Amino acid sequence: MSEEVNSLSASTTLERPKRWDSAFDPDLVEKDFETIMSRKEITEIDASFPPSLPLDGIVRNDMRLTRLERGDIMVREGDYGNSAFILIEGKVHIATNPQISVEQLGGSSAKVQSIFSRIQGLLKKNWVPEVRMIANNKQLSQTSSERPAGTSIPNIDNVMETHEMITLGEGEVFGELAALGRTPRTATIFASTDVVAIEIRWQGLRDIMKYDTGWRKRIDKNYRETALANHLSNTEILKDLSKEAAEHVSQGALFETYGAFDWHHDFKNKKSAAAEVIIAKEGDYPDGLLLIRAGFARLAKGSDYERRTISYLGAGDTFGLNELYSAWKNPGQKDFQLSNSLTALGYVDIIRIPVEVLEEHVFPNMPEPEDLSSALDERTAADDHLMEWAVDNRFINGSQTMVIDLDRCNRCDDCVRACGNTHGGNPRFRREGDPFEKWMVANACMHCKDPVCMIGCPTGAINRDQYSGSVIINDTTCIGCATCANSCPFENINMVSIRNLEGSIITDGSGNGTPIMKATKCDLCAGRPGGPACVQACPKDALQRVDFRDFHAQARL
Amino acid sequence: MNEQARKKRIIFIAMFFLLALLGAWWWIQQQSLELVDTVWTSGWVLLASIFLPSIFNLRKRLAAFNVGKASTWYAIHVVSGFAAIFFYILHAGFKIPTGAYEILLFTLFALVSVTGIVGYVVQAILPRRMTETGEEIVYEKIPEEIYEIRNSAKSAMLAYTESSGSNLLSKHYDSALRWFFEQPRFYINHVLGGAKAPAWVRSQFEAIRRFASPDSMEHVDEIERLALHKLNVDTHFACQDVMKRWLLVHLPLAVAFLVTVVWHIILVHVYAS
Repeated sequence: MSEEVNSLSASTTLERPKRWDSAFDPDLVEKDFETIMSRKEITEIDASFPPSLPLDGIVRNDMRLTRLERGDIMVREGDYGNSAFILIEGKVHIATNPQISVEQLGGSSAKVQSIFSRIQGLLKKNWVPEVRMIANNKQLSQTSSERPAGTSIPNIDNVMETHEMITLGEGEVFGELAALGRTPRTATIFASTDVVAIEIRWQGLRDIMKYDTGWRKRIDKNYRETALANHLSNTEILKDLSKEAAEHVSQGALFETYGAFDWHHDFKNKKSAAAEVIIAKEGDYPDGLLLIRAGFARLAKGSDYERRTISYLGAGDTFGLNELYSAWKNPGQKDFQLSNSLTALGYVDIIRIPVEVLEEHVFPNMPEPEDLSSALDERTAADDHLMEWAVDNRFINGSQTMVIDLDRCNRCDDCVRACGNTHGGNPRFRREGDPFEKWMVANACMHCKDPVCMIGCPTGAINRDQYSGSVIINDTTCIGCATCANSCPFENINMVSIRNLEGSIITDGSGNGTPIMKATKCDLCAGRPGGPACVQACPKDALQRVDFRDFHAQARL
Repeated sequence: MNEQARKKRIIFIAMFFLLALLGAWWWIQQQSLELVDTVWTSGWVLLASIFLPSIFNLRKRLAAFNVGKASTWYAIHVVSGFAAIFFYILHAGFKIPTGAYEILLFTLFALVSVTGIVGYVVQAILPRRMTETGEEIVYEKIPEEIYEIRNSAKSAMLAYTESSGSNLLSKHYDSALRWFFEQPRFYINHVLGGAKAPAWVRSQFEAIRRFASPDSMEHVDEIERLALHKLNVDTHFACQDVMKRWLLVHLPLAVAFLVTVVWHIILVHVYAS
């Protein structure tokens, strides 16, 4: 009997999975591990790490040695990277003037289609979808001895001569602000010699900063000196502060992150049941103003099954202002509490300004904030239902979400046909989705504010258009790895096999018939005058591209 | 698009055409007072009001060009279509024609107008009916959806038979439910928004529940859930089918009418000269 119990317990228990179940570099060799451990950046760490999170564990699982050849791109401007670098051998350069073009980095900019090419497309109807001209589609690697486009700077000698540069040498740390803040990389950094660098993924960086004061001070100082002042000056309540007061706020600010960087994996599996980390709880004492620097957070009232989503906060929004201001204005009054809760919808990067700093440097010089609590209290569950749906499904992430008014849509599919006509016969979206009341969000790229699809693209083929801000794919540099398609939590990126003019599938020439794949998605008809063809083609004005913050107000009219 | 801006745009187009219509009517009246034969003027104005609706189809083929929103073209299509009825009466008078060709022209115009009005009404009513189902199904995927529903219903029926040892459900499935799950049903009733289809489903399951084994009721629940889902699929099929087929009637009639109009103009000019 006891044997049965033992065997049962053996077969039904499992060691709880940890984040280290998946190392940054699963093939990290012992020699590389020892190289990293012997670096002064690691040996100088003087902190006591918990037994469950030892420093050598962080090094082994969250770091790797990256070796690059001269000209290789380490950090690409506009990319969403999830790691930082410490240079240990060689030199890297940042081109400051002029900056390196999008095309040199593997991306592309939307070009306005000429009238001639549009007439040509109209006359030359091609019923074979996803046709590519093989000659135009060859990458540099296939046409010369250079490395694949997007992975290295072409003609490095010329670039070094014609651009003004900043040089970074041994011991320099870079890429940490974008990695921790989940913001786009602000510069392109490339190897100007052969380079060896320690690459640290954001989880490891966060943990070391948590326990080691030296690393925390160094990265915080870097952030305070480079990006914080700019962020604070763009925040509504802080933008009019005097230089001196702004300096005090900047020095007093604390940096916090919540949630998981790779939230999209959890969301893809669990949808609305995905975990949400609590940032601030309704009823708690407010001890600082929270400024959202990146990511999204749910603003909710009530708890458990009665929790109602009031709104969501994104970059530039604040939390707790009314409560803190009221506490400062009425010092005799007791029991100040937060009137709402804030939870992380994925990854949220926050700047906390302590209450003492606010009371001394901010509140005396600002007008009383508008109190919206009474208006919020009057709202019914029906008022908040649409917002709840949008937040649960993370549609709020979209800047150009395709919403269809089903009461008006006559299901003619003119939108799908128009999309197909402007994209070589293959539509870039599906008129499908779960409806809510009379609204349906169709399966079309939403051009997210937090575009997780851009994380990990090896060639930079998926990038933000520098003019419109929409997320587009450079078909030539896309290698068909499907990283973006697998990352998109909304399944709005499709992998397609490409064909020649005769309709035959183009293969890689390896002899086993493996097709060349390309990632495709809605590009908002980049280059088409008049904007997205789907919106223009709807005879009933049923289809819109919206930002949910504006849409919610419009839908509830 | 903002709802108010949309309404403003449609009202502006409607007002523009209303003014044009009144202007043309006034012009014809003036000619009439001057004892000029108004049939030429009213004929050309009628041609213009026929030509305008016909170019809406052209818009669909110009997706790559910025030729304005299709909704604007659609509004022009509808308003000028209604105006054509008015100008037809002004041109031909309140009478049934007697000549064979005129009868053909009149019949085609009447059919195009009636199908146009029917289409307008259908497109205003049926989308809401589909929204009320709370589900959205692409027309082309409906056969696949029904196939899956049918297979699931069969599995649930077999599971009931196995667990209860009774042939009650299988016999009822063969005699009534098989017909329902086979293909889209209650077509006209769904189009008209009647309650016959849900009432039929309800009565079937009331009959089954009266005799079904309480221990195996979960399988009956499952089949009922599938039947209710099938009702939604049937609603979508009926409504989308009507909206697609309607166009297959309206469009060929419109083309045939345009051809007869061109021949009519040629004939009139040949004989007039």
